[in-house]
Amino acid sequence: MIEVNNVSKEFKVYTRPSGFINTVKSAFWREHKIKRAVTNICFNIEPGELVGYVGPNGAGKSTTIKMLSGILTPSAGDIRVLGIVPYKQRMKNAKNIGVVFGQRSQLYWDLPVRDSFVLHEKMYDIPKPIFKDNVKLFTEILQMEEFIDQPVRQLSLGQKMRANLAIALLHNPPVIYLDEPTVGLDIVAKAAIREFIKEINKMQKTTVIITTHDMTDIEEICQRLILIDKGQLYYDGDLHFFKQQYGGDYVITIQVKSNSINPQHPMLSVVEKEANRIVIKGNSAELSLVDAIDFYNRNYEIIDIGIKESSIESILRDIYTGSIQMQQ
Amino acid sequence: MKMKAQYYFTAIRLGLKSKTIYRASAWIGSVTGIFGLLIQVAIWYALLGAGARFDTTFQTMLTFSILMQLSNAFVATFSGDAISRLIRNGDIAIYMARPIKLKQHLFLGDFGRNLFAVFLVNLPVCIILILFYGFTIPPDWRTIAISIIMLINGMIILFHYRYILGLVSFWLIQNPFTSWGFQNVESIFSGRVLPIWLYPVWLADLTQYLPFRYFFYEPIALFVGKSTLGNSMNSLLIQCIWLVIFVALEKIASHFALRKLIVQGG
Ligand SMILES: Nc1ncnc2c1ncn2[C@@H]1O[C@H](COP(=O)(O)OP(=O)(O)O)[C@@H](O)[C@H]1O
Ligand SMILES: [Mg+2]
Repeated sequence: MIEVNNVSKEFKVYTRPSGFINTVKSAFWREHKIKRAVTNICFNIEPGELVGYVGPNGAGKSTTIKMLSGILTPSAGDIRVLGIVPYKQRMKNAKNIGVVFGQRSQLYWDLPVRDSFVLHEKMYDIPKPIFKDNVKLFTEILQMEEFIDQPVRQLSLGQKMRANLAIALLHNPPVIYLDEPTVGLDIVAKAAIREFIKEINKMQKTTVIITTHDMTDIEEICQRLILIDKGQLYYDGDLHFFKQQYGGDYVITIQVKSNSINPQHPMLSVVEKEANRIVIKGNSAELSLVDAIDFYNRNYEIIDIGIKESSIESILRDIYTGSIQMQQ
Repeated sequence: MKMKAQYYFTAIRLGLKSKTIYRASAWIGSVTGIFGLLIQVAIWYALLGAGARFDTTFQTMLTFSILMQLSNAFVATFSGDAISRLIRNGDIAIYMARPIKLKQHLFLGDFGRNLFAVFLVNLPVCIILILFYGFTIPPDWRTIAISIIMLINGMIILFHYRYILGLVSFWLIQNPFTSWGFQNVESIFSGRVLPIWLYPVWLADLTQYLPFRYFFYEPIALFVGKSTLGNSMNSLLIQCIWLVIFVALEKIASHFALRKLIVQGG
């Protein structure tokens, strides 16, 4: 459905001339550096997949999304979205996709949200019954009743984002790209958006690519994770597998009844220890969490227990800072 | 085809609607725009009164001024500013991700916004003027038809001209139209205020080599009988050449503008 083969994108970054001579010279020839935003990326996405496209700032996420939308032309490699080469047939591709850029709004600033919906209807030639059904449905799921007839300039960020998400899906696109759709939103708005994405995916088998810095988005929405950094692909695969392989660290805090707790398990390391309370750390590749708890349960009478597993967030932090090495 | 028409119509309608939101400022803007016309009419009335001078009657000048005012009102806003802003802040990405042509889309919105001033301010004032002082109507329908075709042509050329200036402003940081006095150049060479048939010969000759008189002066001169049908066919041809030149220039400028700073950030 989405095929990305050896795609790279380079930007020419022009250096600002200083001094008179250089300014004159720059009118004819300007020095530039090549900035590689995306390098040799490959992936295939099947219909209905929910893909988290993750990486630190400047990793090349938005550049990839723009190439998939036909806005940017790749410097090398080929892209096909439903068989169409996006940059060659931008308009045709546009009909198949819905795009949300978290920092940008595609709504008429001065007009009620509903007017932007109507323009969208005509732009995409959406059949009336489908348009009506979708407006009704989306208004309900995204809780837009209270503001759909209000001018956009009066809306909160979260309300605007919900409307932008709705508008991107009005024409039932088989594919949607969401570039940081939850950036700057509160918990309620985030929850509504996640719920909506999952719901649409379930109902219409919509293929979703989402970029975000909020790992809760990824954990709640995605099955598959694609990780890029500095334009390069680092991981592409199942989200649970990723967690198991690179995470798997856990920290358990156990409080027992007896006054001397004396751990002897070779696979667990002690973080903190008091008379009847102990904090231990393990990794599920060596000893599963269940076995670790079971070990203490067999030897002591546990009165309280706290468990912390490593989140994608913490795994990614470790990857970005280099304390976890990725295996290619 | 039908769906395209619906999209055009909706884009124009919403442009118009967005203008009516800030009704007060829209009114003030359009009303100050019409003062120019009233002043012009007053001057011509004082100069020509009931008689004719320089081969020109008051009614000819009134018709000329009214048509000039209305034609300009249709294209009063500048998409050029919008396009360079969109490229600069990267919002152009939103438009490029939709199945629309950006230039066309901006034109439709602008056209809708201009309709507010055309229908709510300019047209009523013009009708009152016509009721009081009359209006010159060409004797045959061919002249009327050709003038209208040329007026529409002129609007398209003018739109492209300003669109290009907007794109250029993307490199120059300023829009030459508003900040470099291009506006004055345009009003001198376009015969917008003073008809070119009243210009000294050398200046009138000079205007023939520039695009500006082919915006609205030529069709209106034909309409008020200051140009013959034969002459106007010639002007129509030159208009078409300018149209081709401007469309080509716009394509080139758009291409480079988009290539250079394409869709920054976010
Ligand atoms: N139009 C552009 N010109 C030059 N460099 C760019 C342009 N757009 C993006 N870049 C650079 O490419 C890299 C990737 O950017 P981007 O795809 O926006 O990252 P992300 O969305 O992952 O934060 C960044 O280093 C950015 O500075
Ligand atoms: Mg980004």
